[in-house]
Amino acid sequence: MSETVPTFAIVGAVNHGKSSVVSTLAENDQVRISSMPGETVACQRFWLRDLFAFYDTPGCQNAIEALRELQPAARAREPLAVFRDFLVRHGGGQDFEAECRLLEPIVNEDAGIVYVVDGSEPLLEIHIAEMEILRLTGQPRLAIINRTKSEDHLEEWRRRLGLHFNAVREFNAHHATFADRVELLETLAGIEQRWKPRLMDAVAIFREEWEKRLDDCADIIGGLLEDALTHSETAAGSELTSRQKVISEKLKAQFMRSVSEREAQAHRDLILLFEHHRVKAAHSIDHVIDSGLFSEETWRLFGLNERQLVVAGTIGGAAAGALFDLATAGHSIGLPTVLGAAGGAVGSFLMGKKRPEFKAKLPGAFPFGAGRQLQLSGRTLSVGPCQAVNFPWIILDRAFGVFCYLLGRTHARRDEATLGASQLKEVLDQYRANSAHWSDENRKACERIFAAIRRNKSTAQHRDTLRLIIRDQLAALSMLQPTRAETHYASRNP
Amino acid sequence: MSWKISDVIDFEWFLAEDGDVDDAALRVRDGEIFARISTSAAQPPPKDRKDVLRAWLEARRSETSETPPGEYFLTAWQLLSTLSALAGAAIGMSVATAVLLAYTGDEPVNVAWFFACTVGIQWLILAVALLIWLLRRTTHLFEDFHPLRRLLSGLLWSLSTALHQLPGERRERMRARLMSIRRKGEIFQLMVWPLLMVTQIFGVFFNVGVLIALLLPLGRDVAFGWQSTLKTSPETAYRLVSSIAAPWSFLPNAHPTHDDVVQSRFSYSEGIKSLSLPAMTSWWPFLFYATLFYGFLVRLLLLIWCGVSLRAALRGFSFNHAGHNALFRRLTGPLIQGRSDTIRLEMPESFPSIDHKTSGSCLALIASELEIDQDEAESELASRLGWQLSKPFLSVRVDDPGGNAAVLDRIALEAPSLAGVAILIGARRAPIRAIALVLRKIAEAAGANIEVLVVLVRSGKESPEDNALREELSTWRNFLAIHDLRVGLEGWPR
Repeated sequence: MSETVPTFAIVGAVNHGKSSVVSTLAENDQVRISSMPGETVACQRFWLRDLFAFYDTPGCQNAIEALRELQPAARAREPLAVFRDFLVRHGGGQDFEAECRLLEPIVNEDAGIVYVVDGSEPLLEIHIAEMEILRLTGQPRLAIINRTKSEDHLEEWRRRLGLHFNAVREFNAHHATFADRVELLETLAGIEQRWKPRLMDAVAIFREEWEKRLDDCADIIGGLLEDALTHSETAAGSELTSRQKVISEKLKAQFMRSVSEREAQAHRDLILLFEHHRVKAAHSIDHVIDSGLFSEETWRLFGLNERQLVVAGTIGGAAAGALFDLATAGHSIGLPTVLGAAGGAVGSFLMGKKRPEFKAKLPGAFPFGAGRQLQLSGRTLSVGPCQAVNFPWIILDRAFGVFCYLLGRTHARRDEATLGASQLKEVLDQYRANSAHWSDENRKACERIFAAIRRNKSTAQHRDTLRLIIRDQLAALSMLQPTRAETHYASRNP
Repeated sequence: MSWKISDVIDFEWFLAEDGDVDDAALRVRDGEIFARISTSAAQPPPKDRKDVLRAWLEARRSETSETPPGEYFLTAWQLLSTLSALAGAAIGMSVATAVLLAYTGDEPVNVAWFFACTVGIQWLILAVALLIWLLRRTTHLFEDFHPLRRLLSGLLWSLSTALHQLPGERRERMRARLMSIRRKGEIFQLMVWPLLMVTQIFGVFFNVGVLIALLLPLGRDVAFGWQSTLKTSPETAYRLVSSIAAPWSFLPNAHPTHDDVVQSRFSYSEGIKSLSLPAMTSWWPFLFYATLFYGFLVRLLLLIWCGVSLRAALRGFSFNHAGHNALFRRLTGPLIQGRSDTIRLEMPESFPSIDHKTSGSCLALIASELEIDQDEAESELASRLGWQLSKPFLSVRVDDPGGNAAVLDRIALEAPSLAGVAILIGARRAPIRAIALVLRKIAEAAGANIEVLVVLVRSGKESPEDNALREELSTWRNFLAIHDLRVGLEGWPR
C-alpha cells in the first residue's frame, strides 16, 4: 500500500451515483455524469496537495464474468497478483474494459476502495459480484449508500455490504453539507490506520478552507456594499433645459445599470467561490427596473421591515438635525434635531419600502461641494450615491440569498439555475436569513458603518467590523439546514 | 518583495482591466500565471499572499506592450514635486526679499514682521489645518472641503495622462479608469500621502528660499530692530526671544543679548539713528536659526513623516478587497484539483432498422430479477406486436454473458419456427456491456432471420414519470447502436 499519498478509487455499479459523490467531495459540478452508461470509460483523478487523491472510475460493466476470472484470488497467497494478471490479459480488450480501468488504481497505486451504491435501487446478483471482486482485492474498503429515489432497499443493501466492507455509511450526495463532506473524509481516515495522519491533515485543511471561504464571502459582500453605497455617475451638464433633461435621464439609467452590474459581479464571485458552474446570477441589465435590484418587487421583498426602517430613519434624521444644532452652537434650541427625527421617521414609513426615484443634481456650492465644482468642464450633473435607508439592507439580503442558495446546493446537481428575486427571497425565508432578523446590536453597528461609507469616511476598522458582522451571520447560517433553519436561527437571534 | 505606490496603481489598473474579461478566461490565464510563477527558476516561489499578488503583477506587466499607468503616475508625481520645490523656493525668496527690501535705511526691518511673514504664516496654516482636521473628526463639519487636495490630485492625475501625450481615446479611457481606482477607499487613503508630500516639499523649499534670501548680501546688510505697540518691556522681549531660541541655544550667537534687545528697540518717529549697530546685526543669526529650526526643519520632519507614513501605508496595504481575494483564488485554484482524461464514445449517426414480422410465435425471455404479471404482459405485447408469446417466460440472467446455456440452447432449437425472440428487461436497469454480450449471444443463437426484441418494462410500482420511459428507450437505443446490435426495442407499457 502506498506509503505516501493515500489514494482511493470510487467504484460502483453504473448509475448508482459515484460521480455525484465525487462531485460533492471535490466540490466540482463538472465531473462527468452521463445518462448514457458506458459513454465514458476513463478515470478522472482528483487530488488535494500531497494529502490524498481519489479516482472517479467507470461503472462495472461485466462483473459476473470478471468474478469468474478473479475467483482464484480468494485462495492466492498474493491476491493482487491475480488482478495484475487479469489486467495484463484484458488490458487492451473490450469485454472487461471498464473493469480494467477501475481496477488499475487499486492494483497499480494501492488505492483504497470507496464503493458507492444506490440504496433506492434493488440489490442484484451483479452487485454481489462487484462486492466480491472488491473484497478479493484485500484493500481497505468503505461502502457508501447513496439514495437517489424514494424507493427503499436500504436494509437489504446494508446487510450485504456489512459482509464485504470495513465500514458502511450513508451519504446523500444531493443534500450533503460541508459537515457531511468532512465526516466522509474522517470515515475514510478510519478505515486504514496508516492514512489517518494525512487524511486528518486534509480534514484540517478542509475546515480551514471553509473558514477562509466564509471570510471571502464576507469580503465580497462587504466590498459590494462599499461600492454600491458610494457609487455615483457624473456627466457634463448643458445650458439647454431640454438637453439637461435628456442627460439626467441617461445618467439615472446608467447609475442603476452600473450598481446592478456591480451587484451581479459580486453574486458571480460568490457562485464561483463555491465552484458552482451551473448557477447563474440573474442580471437583466435592460430590465433593472422591472426585475432587478431596482425593481418595486425587490424593494418590497428585501431589507428591513417598516418598524426597523422608521427607527433607522428617525436616528438618521435626528443625527442630521443635531449637526445643525451643533453648527449653531445650540442657538437653534434642538429644533432641527426634533424636526430631523420626525422627518426621518415619516419619510421612512412612507417611502422606506418603495424604490427611490433618483434625481440628477448639480453638486452644492462652496464650501460643501467645492471640490465637485472645481471640475474644469463646467457644471457637472451627478446621480447617486443612493441614500435610501433600506438600500444597503436590500443589497445584503440579496447577497445572503445567493449564499444560502449555494449552501443548500450540492455539486452533484446538474440542473442549470438562474437566481432571480423570488428564488432568493424563498431561500432567504427558508434560512430566516433576512437582515430584518438580525440582532439590534448588529443592525445598529452596520448602520453606523454604512453612514461612514456613504461619507467616504470608512476606515480599515469600519471595513473589518462590517466584514466580521457579515461573517458571523454567514457562519451561523452555514451551520443550518434550510428545513431546520427556523428553530436554530430563532434561538440565536431571539 | 516590497510594494511601491506605482505597483499598487498598476495592480489596481490590471484588476480593473480584468473587469471586462470573461470569468472562465481569467481563471485559465491566472492558473497558468500561477503555475509559471511557482515553478520559475529565476526567482524563489512566492511565500505569502502579497508575494503571490506581486509576482502576478510582474507577470502581467511582462505580458503587456502598453506602459501601465504606475509609471505615468510616478513621472507626474516627480514633476509636481519638482514644480512644488521650485515654486516653494521662489516664493520663499520673494517673500523674504520683499520684507528685506522694505529696508530704506530710515528705520530697521521689524524682526516680528519678518518672523510673521516667513515662519509665522507657515505655523498659521498648520494651525488652521489642524483645526479643520479636528472639526472634521469631532463634528463632521468641512468633511468634503479639501480644495487643495482636490486641486493637487486633479493636477496629478491629469498630468499622469497628459505628460505622455497619449492619443485622445486612450487618454480618456486611462483617465476614467484612474479616477475609478482613485475612488476606491483604501487607495483613496493611500493617495493622501503623495499629495501631502508635495505640500511639504513646497514648505521645505519655501524655507530654503527664505534662508537663501537671508544669506545673500542684501539679507546680511539689513539692520533689524523691534518695536511694539503693546507696552512690552525689553525684559519681556528678551525672555520671549531666549525662549524661542531654546532649541538652538547651544549654537554661537543663538539670540541677541539683553543689551542688544534694549539697544535695538526702535520707534518709527525716532528712526534708526539712536540704535546700536551691533545690537541690530545681532538679530540676523537669530532669524536665520528661527527659519532653520521652526520652518525648514519642521517641514523637513513633516516631509519625512509623510514618506514614512506612505511606506507604512504601503506595507500595511491589506490586499483584502473582494477583487484582490477573487484574484488570489483564481491564482491558487480550488482546493481539490482534478484532471480528466475522459474518452467519449462515438455515437452512430443512424440506427439500424429491424424488419418486423407481424405474426408468428415468439419465445419470451424475462430478466431473472424482473417481477411482473406475465398474463398481462403476454396479452398486451401479443396485441401490439402480433406475436404469439410462449408461456411461461424463460428466465434469463441478462448480465451474465457466461451463463444462460440452457436458454441459448432452447433458442437455437426453436429458432426455425419462431418469428422473434422478446427479452423483457426492467426499464431502470442500466444497459451495460454484460447485457450487450448476452444480447449478442441470443441474437447469434436465434440466427440472422429471427427478430430479437428488447422490451423495457416499467413496473407499476415504479414512479410513473412522464418522460422516464422515453429517456430510458433513448438511452437503450444508443446503447444498442454503440454495440452494433441488430436488436429491436420496445417499451411496456407505452
